[in-house]
Amino acid sequence: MDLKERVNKMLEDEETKQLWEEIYLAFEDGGINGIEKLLIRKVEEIKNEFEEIKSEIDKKIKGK
Amino acid sequence: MGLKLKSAIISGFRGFNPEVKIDFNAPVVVLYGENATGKSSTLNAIEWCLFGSSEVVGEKNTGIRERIDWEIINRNAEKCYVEVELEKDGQVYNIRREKSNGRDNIYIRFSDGGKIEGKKAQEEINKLIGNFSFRDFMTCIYQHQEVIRYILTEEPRKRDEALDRLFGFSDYRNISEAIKKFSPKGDELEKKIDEIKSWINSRIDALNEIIKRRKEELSKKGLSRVDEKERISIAKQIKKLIEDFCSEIGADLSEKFSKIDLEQKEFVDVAEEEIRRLRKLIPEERKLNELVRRKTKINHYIDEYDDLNKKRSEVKRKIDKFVRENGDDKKIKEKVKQIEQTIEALEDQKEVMNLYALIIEKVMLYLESVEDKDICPVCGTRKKGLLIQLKKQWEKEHKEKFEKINKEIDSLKKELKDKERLLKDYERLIDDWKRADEGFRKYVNKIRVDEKISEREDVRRKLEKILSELESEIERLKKSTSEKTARIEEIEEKIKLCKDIDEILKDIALREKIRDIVRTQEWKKLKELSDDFKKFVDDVERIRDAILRATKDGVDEIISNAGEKISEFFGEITSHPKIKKIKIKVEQNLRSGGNQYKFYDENDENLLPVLSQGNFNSLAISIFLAMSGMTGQKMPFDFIMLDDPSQSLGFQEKVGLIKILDIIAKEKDIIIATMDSELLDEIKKMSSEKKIYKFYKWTPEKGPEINEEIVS
Repeated sequence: MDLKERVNKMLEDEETKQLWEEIYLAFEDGGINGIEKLLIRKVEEIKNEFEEIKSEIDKKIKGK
Repeated sequence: MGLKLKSAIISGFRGFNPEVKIDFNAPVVVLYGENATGKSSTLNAIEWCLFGSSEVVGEKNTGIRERIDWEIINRNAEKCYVEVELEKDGQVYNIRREKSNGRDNIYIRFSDGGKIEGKKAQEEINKLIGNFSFRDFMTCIYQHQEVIRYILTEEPRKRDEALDRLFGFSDYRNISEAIKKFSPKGDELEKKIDEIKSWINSRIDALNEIIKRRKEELSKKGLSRVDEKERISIAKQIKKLIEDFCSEIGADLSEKFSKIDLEQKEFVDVAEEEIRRLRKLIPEERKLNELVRRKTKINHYIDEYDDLNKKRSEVKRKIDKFVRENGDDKKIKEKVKQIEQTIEALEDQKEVMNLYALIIEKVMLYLESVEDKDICPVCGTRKKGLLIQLKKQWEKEHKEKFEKINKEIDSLKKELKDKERLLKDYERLIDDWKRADEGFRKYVNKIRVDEKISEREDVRRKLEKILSELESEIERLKKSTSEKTARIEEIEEKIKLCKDIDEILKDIALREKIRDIVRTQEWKKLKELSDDFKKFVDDVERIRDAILRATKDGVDEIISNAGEKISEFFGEITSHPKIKKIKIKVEQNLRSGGNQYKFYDENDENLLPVLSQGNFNSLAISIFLAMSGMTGQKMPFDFIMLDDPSQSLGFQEKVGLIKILDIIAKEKDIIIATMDSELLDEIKKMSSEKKIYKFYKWTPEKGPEINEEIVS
């Protein structure tokens, strides 16, 4: 059994399995750097959206 | 039966340049030579031909750091190719891989003369080797010298890592390490939400405080209720008061004010503007403003008049003082004239004395030149001691008198200079006076013209009179406007009240808006993103945990299948007198989460403290050999390749290794690259048929020279 399948079997949640699939593909395409880029991109996506909304709320609190 | 390696043709690949053919048609083939003579390049060439650049170049797939900057084509060649001949069940496959201009191409020729290339050729190779990956090839077929080197490291964590790789789990390791580097905190966004919440609360508290304070201030002014209704009621009063005031002073309401709605936020600003406008329209107020402006102007005239007059008087005082001390210019000039005359008289006197002196000097010269020095050459009279007498007279009268006159002249000249300087000072003072007087007169004339003051009147007195009249008029007007001003101030007070209520209502509205933030869609979305983030970070951690567990399970599985074989090989190779068997146990390292390898003897004694470099080398080889012959593992190749397997082995360990290889050689062909002459001697003693190639005289242009040694 190869790595992809072996790890996949140990995961329960579908979303986690999907993420594993993405991580594995990123590794195949770009090695360790590929994984780093993928994880950073995903984190930045969430954080950027969060910061945008936060800045709108900040403006409301300041009464602007 | 698996694939047997029959031969390899290599050209332009790494250490090779001109084409070289090596036959592998013997159970044991040895590539022997010094360091850097092309032995490893030969094994690398076979590996590259089968798996291509995308697999074998770089650290990503190989886990070998030395491969980061690997160059495939020899720097002296334009292209490279490797052709390996494989044989299985009587069928021959010639696999050829070429590389030029950065591209790989692959071909297969079959025994029947058929040929395929590119994607189809790669698919055929994949079919031929089943699911056997490049990683499997590294673990079970080709023992790389770098992997043994990593095992020999002193650092336990690195050795564990190398063992993971030796067991074929390099990908697991790499992915797990990459994930480990990524370490954001799952509650990072949740904490930010908490910060926003706390900011909201403190902002609400601050607004409550401001509202409370403002309400208290209004309460002191008699306003107990602060709401929109009260504000409109006050606005109505303001409007009524302004309308009444307008009719009283006979002015119209401005269009802007008459149109403004009481409920509009701008009402207060428009009312303030209207009051400013009306204030200017009060007739007395207008007159008053004019009088105040005029009073300012007269005051300015007086100040300027006094200032110029003062400057003029100061110059005058200086002149008076000068005259008192030195006299006026007429007196000074008279004195100058007098000094000049005295000097002239003294100069005349000096001239007469000079003539007389000249005569005496000539008489003395004459007397000195004649023998009879007592007869006067002028009058002819004889006088005893005439020359001596004349000399004395010369010294006493003429010289002394001359010096006295000269001194007197010098003193007079000095006095003359002083007087001339005084004259200049006097002229300067006179100039200053003229300027000050002229400035003053000009200004006085200007006042006369501006204020129509006749030449007969005194300007200063006239200005004071005007000022006094203005002040009386201003006082009178002020009294008469005070009632209207009081009315305006009353309206302004109301406007201020309305403005304060507006501020409070604005703060209350803002407070409610801030309170409502936590009920908005934006807030909901913020919470969702924070949850998504937490789940993402947890998922990444779960995946890493799964990888680590999978690695451990995988190694456990291998050890359960090949553990006995590893121990048997290890016991055979290692020369340690007490270690004949080795048990490998894998635990999860609590700190790193990775695999931690522990080694025990048959009595479950921990071997780690006593294992030497040679023992670790033996262990690495044992694991490789056991993996390559693992039962249950379908091996598509009937050969193995060992690169420098005896790096840290002692002589007895080499003997043990060769003994095992001799057994394995009966089932699989073995290719060994080595520089170890001791190992070579032992190989020569093997019972299996063998072929030895000697590699030497390597140059970058020609590659190695290779000779086959005949072994009896």
